[in-house]
Parts: sequence; structure tokens; C-alpha cells
Amino acid sequence: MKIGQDLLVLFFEPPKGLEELIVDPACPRTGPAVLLFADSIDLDLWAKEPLEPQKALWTEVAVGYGCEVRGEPATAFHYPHLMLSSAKSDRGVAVADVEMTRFHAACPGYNGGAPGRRCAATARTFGGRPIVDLDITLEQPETQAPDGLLRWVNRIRYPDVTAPDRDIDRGLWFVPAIDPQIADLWTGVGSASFSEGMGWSGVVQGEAWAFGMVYSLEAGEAL
Amino acid sequence: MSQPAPKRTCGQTSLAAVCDLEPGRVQKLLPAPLTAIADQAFIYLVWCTLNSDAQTVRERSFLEANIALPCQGPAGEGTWFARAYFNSKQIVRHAHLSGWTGEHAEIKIGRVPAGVGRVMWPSQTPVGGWVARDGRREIELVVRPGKPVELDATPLHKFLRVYGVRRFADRADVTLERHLEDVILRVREATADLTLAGDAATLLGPVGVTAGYLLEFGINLGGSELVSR
Repeated sequence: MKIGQDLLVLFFEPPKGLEELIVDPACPRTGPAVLLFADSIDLDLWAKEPLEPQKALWTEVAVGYGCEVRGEPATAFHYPHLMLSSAKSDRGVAVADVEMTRFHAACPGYNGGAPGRRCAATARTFGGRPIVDLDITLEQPETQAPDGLLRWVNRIRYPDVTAPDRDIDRGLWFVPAIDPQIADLWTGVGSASFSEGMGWSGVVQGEAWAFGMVYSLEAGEAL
Repeated sequence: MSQPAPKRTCGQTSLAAVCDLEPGRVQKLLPAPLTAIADQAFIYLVWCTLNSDAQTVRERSFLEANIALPCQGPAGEGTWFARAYFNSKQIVRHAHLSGWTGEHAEIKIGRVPAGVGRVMWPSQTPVGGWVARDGRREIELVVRPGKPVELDATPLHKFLRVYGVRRFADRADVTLERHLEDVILRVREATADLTLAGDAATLLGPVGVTAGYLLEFGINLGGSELVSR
């Protein structure tokens, strides 16, 4: 599956309450917390069904943290803190209403990233409760994405519809972005405001990244 | 000293189909004092981003579809939106205030995020979308982009001059959208597959698609001006 994404990312030191929420004891935290927004397209599906773009397009927000897999940096995003704008599989991802700043190549005066350019993103539950808002300001171009940001670890766990008090736990999975092509990579500063929909409220600040990416994705492997 | 107002710009990608209509149809649809110049309609599916820090994230991108009729008006050749569909009720209100027939609709249009576009745009594959009202699709359009063409060589050469007609009692105010700057980034000719149903089909009657285009353009937003005498 070939995926295209515009990403807005914030690295920050997690306050204790948020850390307790997002860190899985089986996958220890070795790096900063990571807030990631993505405007995404399944390029294979889009090419196959051009009249049904709603199937190929989605947005997502994820709150995770730096970890290690096989001695290399990686980033962990676990259910229910990996939220997509639509349920796209039976992996039980959480869903949320997510929007982020979109730019258009034809906008007068726009030529990709620029110092001072502001980008923003917002996520709320489909019931309307705010989850998190992100604001970042770009400062300078970069040439390489942060170590480990494109190697993902996910605990696949979701409610069992046949037994409401129980979760189905499929364990930890390693899913790397394969052959990523990265464009318009910038760093800057940013802040995020977490709200009740996240289960922890507060404001954090940190280092921000913004870029576009096309990569291949496979099912991954169990850890 | 007051600061100059910041530029409000937007970028748009438009899938367009040019349709022949039965003779006399356009003149019947146009509000006076606009007059027909061709028995044609232009169908657009548009995704648009506003480049404006002053607006919320959710206000900065929207989807739009239009049934535009080429016409002659008080300020020369232009078009008028017989239907202007938006996924935002606030912009439907703007359509009515502008003198078009605004409709709230569910709209889906293929697009690629800007950073992704740096890697794989212009699209080498067909691009499509649809408009639905009350759960029923009224417009479906897929364009297969081909080679670049000059806008002036197409029937859409005045597509950015959009008239509105606001009628109050016996008076018709004619407006014209006024852009401070238009930047045509790219026009590609395309084959277009168009399906109309419901109100859109009833409005236009029998149609024959004669051309298709994929347009990318930017606007430095101005506003509308009154052009009726």
C-alpha cells in the first residue's frame, strides 16, 4: 500500500499525567513524547477508484513517545491514542474529527515552507469534545526526518464487541515506513493544548516538524 | 500608523467539464440582465484552501461545486453560477448574498496534500469527485489529465469573472467578483466522464460533454463590486 501524508509533529517532554496515559510498560519510553497530525491519502486506492475519493482520504492524530526497536530509535503510538477520521480496518483504531492547515501550490506567494509560516491542527471527538490543538511556527529547512519518527510501534488492542468488559489485545507490532520520499521538510517551534477528550488537560511546548511524505506500508511484524 | 491589511489568498484545484446544452436553455436560466453567449454549461468540482492565519483551521479549506453558465453582463463576458454547492452553510449564505443559487451539499473531491504533491503531482491518474444532496448524488465527475494547455485557448478563458444577480423587489443588482490578483498555475486538458442526476439533471436538460480540464490556480482575494447601472 502506497501512502501519502502531510505531517505536523511536536516533540515535547511529557507531563507525568500524560506520560502515564500514553506509555505502555511493555514498550518503555526512551525519548520525548510525540504529537503527530497527518493529512493522508492511500495512493493505490485513489488511483483505483478515482470517483470515490472519500475512501482514499483520511486525517489522523496520534500521541506517542520515542522508544527503541531492535536497538534502533522508533516511535510508539498505542490504541486508543492513535485516532483516524474514519475506521479503515478491523484493527480497532480510535476515531476522531481531525483537521489541519492545508496549503495549495497555487496560492499567490506560497512556495512551500518558509520562516515564520504558521501551521495548525485540531482534533475533537465526533461528539464535539476537544482533544488537542496544535500550533507551530516554521523556522528553518531540514534535510532529514528525526531518527525513529518513521519506524512505528503500535499496541493493537481494541474493545471486544462480544464481551463489553474485555479488550482484545493483539500485542505490539512493528510497522516501519518503507522507502519514504520526503519533501518540504522544516523544523520550528510549537505548542499543543490537550483537553478533556484526551483524558488529560494541559499545554506543552517543544520542537516542531512539518513535511510531506510518500512511502509504502505493509502489515508489519509482531514483536 | 495603521498596518496594511494582510493579503488573503487562496489556492484551488478545479475539475472542469464543458457541456453543450439544448439551444435556448442557457438564456432561459440566466437572470436578467445577463444574456447568453453560448448554449454551454461549465461544471466545476473545486477544492480550495484559504491562506489566512486569521481564520480557524476548519475555516481554511472547503469544497465547492458549480454549474456555471457563460454569459454577457454589464462588465463584459463572464459566467453566472446557476448552482453553487458548498459543504459549509456559512459559504452557502455567501453564495446567496453574491447573487448565485447556493446549495448546501455533501461534496467529495480527490486531492493530494501539498507536501505529497511535491512528490507526485500533477496526477498521472484520473481525479474525480461527486456532489450529493439529501444522500443522493447529483453530479459525478472524473477527469483524466492530459497535456498542458493555455487557459485562453479554452472555453473557460473567463471562468474567474463571476457575475451575481441580487434581485430585491423590481431591482436587480449585478455584482462581479473582483480578485486583486489571479495566478493560473496550470491548466491541463482532460477527458471528462460526467453523470448528472436529480436537480442538476433537471436544470440542464440533455447535456453533451465536449471538453474537460484540470485547473490549478490562485487568487489574491478582493471582494465583489457592483457593476449594474
